[in-house]
Amino acid sequence: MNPTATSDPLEAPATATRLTAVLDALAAPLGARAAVLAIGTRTPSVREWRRFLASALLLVGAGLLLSGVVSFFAFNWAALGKLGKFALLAAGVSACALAAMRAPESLASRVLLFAASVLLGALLAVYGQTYQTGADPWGLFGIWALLILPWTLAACFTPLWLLWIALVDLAFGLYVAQVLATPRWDVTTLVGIVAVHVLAVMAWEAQRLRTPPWLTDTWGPRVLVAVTLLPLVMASVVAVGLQELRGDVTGASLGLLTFLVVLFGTFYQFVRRDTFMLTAVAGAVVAVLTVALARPLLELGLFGLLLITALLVGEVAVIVKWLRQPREVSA
Amino acid sequence: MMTPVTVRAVLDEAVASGLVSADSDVPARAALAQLAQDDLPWYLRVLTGGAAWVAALFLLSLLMGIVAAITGGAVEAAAVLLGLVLMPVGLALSRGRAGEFRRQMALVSVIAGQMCVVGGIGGNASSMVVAAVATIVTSAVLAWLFDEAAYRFMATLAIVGASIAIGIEQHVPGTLGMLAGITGLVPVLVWRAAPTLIARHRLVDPVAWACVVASVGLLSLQAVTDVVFGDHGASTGLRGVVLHTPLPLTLLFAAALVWMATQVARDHGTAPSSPVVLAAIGVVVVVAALTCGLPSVTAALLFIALGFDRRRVGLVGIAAAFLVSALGLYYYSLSLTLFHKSLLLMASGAVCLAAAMFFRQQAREGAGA
Repeated sequence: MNPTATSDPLEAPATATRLTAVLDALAAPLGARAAVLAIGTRTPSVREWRRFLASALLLVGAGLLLSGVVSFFAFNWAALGKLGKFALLAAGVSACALAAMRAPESLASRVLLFAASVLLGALLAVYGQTYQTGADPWGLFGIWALLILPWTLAACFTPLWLLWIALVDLAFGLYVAQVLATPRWDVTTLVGIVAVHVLAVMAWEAQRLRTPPWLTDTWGPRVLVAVTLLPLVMASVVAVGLQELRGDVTGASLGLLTFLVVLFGTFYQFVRRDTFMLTAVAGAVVAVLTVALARPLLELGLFGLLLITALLVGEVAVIVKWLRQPREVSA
Repeated sequence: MMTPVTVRAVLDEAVASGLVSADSDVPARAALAQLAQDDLPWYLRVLTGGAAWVAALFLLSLLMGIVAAITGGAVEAAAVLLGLVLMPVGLALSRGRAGEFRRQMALVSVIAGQMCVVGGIGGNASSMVVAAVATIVTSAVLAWLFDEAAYRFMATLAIVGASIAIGIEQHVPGTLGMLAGITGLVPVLVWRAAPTLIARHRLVDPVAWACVVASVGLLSLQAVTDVVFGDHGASTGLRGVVLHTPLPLTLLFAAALVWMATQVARDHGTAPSSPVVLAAIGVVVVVAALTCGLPSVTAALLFIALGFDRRRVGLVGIAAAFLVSALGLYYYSLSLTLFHKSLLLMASGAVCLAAAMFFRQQAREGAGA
């Protein structure tokens, strides 16, 4: 993390790079440098270690136990009757949800609600498998998302929100592909999923203005933006670089990517500066622009190769210079 | 869970210890402000590194095109000479306070030069092993000389890749496993075992991070191989480079964890025989024994502990994501039945949860004291 333009640089985390820069400025002697670096990089306190071991082992233990339980029931699945399967999964969901109520603000509670949400999906899947009504799969994911929405709201847990958004994506995609089944279902699915992701990111930004914010992890919207941009970039590269493979989806991807670049670029440059988001947007532009220009430039032969090299270097140099300008919010 | 130590806190302690003068705030702020302008966050380094690679490929194509046009047949020798010119040019461009364009050109020039040298030597010798050795030597030398984190990261990965190539060509048994173990231990050695190396953090940090990525990648590859082929393997060549038994890797990572526990205890002036340290070591030993067929678990625990110890949040995040994916892959592993896997996993989980309760109790007692 880099120190910000508006907050005190001395409150930034003491990394070796920052400490070295400070020691260089103070012209500290060698012995003092080693001692100061040792202060900045020493192991956390006993109290911090105990708290960390308690939390980390809780999470790791829950993960191992959950994996073991899933494997156990997978092994015995055929032997269990209908009611046995439902009872086990329902008991798991109930136990996790009830245990989560003991200490609602704790990490353990959030992890338990996440586990309950996952197990609820398994319960719905078993129900669908047992009573095959011919219903479309989109209904499973849609109902799953609807049922876990209260827990998602209550948990204030970014991984659970990402799971919920993934379920909405799946439900929407399957609905359009299998139920609506319009001639351009693929483009409709793409536009719909991008819209869901954009709304999710904007909702996160809006809740961030609350006092206190409901979700503070920045990695959630960053993952969402990266996951949204990456497939669009790949399809757009095909649209501009491989004209023989161009189609409705690749064309739509290019249009959506342009829209997202303008939207996220404007928001994260002028409203809430976030260099990760701007880097993702800039990277998308560089990739598509370079491929678009490379095709005609390659026809110039060796001179074209030189121009492409210079173009790429120039693009990145401009981006880095732009993103190095003083920031209002740290990356 | 992880409270970062601020520069302010370190300076205050340094002033109290008489290591720096009391009026260090102003120059410290100025230095940090300048650093903020010069330093690049990791995702920008990924962008610059990736773009430099692509640009280097285009530059290489251009140069080889010119060389081929001029020399006709002796492309390899010309490539080596060209590379030996490009690399120092890149190093020279990177010296001093360089603007962004110059820094990018330096990176492109060094990478293209190295590719010329490696390609030329390998092509001349018609040997993958010779090319791999050339990669290792040039990467090591350039990583030492070229003060660019993105390059040092990529060079370390190149060295690992070249080592794998040598192992496959020479049919060295257990290549992937050995490299997974070595790359997993490098961050522990660099960040924990040799504290004086912190003064050379610009060199060792990118190398250590690359080793973490390489270790996670190799362990995942072993797990995927186990899922796809089980004990039967696909071909003799593939089986030859995969570590047949994961036990040595598990033992290695578990030993590193136990060592770390004793080092942390020593730093706090706590005897290794104290209940807290014994509990931590006990958890490591029991979990390692139960999951000996899945070294990814002990590796992930090692990286989580190291990440917390060195206050590197990214390492904890990578290790946590790796553990989740490793457990997912283990579900499909053909080495054990689902029943046996379930028992081992549930037992390991129960041990971890019991230890979590113990440490929570210790934390409460420590807070109350």
